[in-house]
Amino acid sequence: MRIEVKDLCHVYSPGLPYETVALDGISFCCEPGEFVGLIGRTGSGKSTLLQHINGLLKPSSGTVLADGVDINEKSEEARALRRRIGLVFQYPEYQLFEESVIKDVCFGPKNQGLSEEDCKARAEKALRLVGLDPDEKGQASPFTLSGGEKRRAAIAGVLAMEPEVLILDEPTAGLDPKGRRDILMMIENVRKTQNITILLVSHSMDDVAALAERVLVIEKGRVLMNASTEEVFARGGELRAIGLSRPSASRLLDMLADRGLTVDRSIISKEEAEEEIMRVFKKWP
Amino acid sequence: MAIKDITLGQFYPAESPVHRLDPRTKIIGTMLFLVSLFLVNKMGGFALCLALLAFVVAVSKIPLSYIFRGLKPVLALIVLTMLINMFLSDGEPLWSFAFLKLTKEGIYRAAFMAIRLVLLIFGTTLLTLSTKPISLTDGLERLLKPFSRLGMPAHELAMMMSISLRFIPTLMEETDRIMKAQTARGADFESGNLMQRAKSLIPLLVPLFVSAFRIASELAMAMEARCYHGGEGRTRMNPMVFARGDLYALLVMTAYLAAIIFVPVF
Repeated sequence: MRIEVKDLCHVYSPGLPYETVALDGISFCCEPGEFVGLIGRTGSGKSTLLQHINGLLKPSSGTVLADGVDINEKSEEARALRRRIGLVFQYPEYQLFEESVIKDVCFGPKNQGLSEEDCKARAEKALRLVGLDPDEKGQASPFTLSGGEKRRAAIAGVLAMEPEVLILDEPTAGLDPKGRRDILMMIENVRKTQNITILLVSHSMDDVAALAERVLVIEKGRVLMNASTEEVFARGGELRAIGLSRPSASRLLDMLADRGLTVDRSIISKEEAEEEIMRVFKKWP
Repeated sequence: MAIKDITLGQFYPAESPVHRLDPRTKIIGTMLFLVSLFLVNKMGGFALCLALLAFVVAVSKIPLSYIFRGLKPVLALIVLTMLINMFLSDGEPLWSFAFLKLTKEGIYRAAFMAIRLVLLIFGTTLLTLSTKPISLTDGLERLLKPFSRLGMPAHELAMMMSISLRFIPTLMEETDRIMKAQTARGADFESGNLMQRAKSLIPLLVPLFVSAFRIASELAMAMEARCYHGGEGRTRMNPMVFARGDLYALLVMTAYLAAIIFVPVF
């Protein structure tokens, strides 16, 4: 599904003394199957933007188009489109409520009007996708799972709706390194097997650099940059100016370069940085 | 639209002598004012009440529209009281229909009751407009302290009140968040019959309860970690001071009450 955001503005509490402009003329596109990273400091309007993309918030002005149709229209078509856009909130584990994991994951498909068997099949598939064994964990209460497992179960709840666009709002926040790795691998896996559009919000530049093809930088409710991941992370000075940074691999190369080594500073991934460093040090006299 | 837009309490921030008064003074003053409203039995007395109220409002720098806003929720009650008094009082009938009769005494009593109710609300509204909810509970705690000898847990009551006030916005935000998350999973909170709607609240209420317990246990831990052990021997960061302004305010209130009781015109 192709998502197109056109001139989107959102004002909270319009007309009241604490009126705030959260989004101020945002425009961008997500092509089908694309992996887009969204970065920006806290309060830049990222979460507000995400909630517009599946129609939870209505724009003050501007439109959100999914395959060319305005998702905020009152038609059945727009409703159906909204359902094909899955949104995973920050700390999604706080939305778990059912007595068993499998029932909780079934909640979404059930709301889509699927039969009991279909729901179950979808739920089991989604649980496998996030790396939870439905036979082992399916009947457990969601509240007995570990933090990382809870998070994955909650993400499965959204995946079970088989969205064509998956929006993830800081899916790794507050997890330990293993939990983070599991979630990131799961996202990669979903991407590969389901071929869906993914929009990932993250404060971890490393995660964005490792996964995204294109990066949007949001600052004060406006799009500051919209370019390929390499291009965005090449603009380190500008990123630092708004409280962001280059990925840690690039920062390491920057430091080496500052100490007089000739290294390729445009590298953003850990693997390539490793090779580059090995290459440079082999030439070491 | 969003739940978090709902404002809690109605404190109107301003720099005024009324805002600066000790909350205890304001609570006592308001109580005296409320008592005086029930001592008044002539229209002349209300003129004095109104004059005092107008004076305090003028000093407090609170816009009149905010004070009138307090009337809105109780407007129906006032109208009902007026109607009952107008039609169901004994006296010289001006107009009658079946068991309803409009009497001169009835109209007078209706006006009297309405004025009393309106002034009652103005008085209490003024208190909440000029005092932050937290200082209000602080003031109450201090005022209730003498009763703790009789076994009343004054400090605990006040602490409970301040904690619940503090966490209402947090829980509202939490509700908003969970509601959105479940809506994103296709939950529908708005359509269907009563039974279906009640059922649709389960995905909202269960996570909300879980969150509330989590927040409560985290708060308890944080308080414990800072050595909270109840009200015994506890001192305040901003002790309430009875200043010169408070003395003047109480003198004005005493003079006012004396006038209501002893001056025959009122």
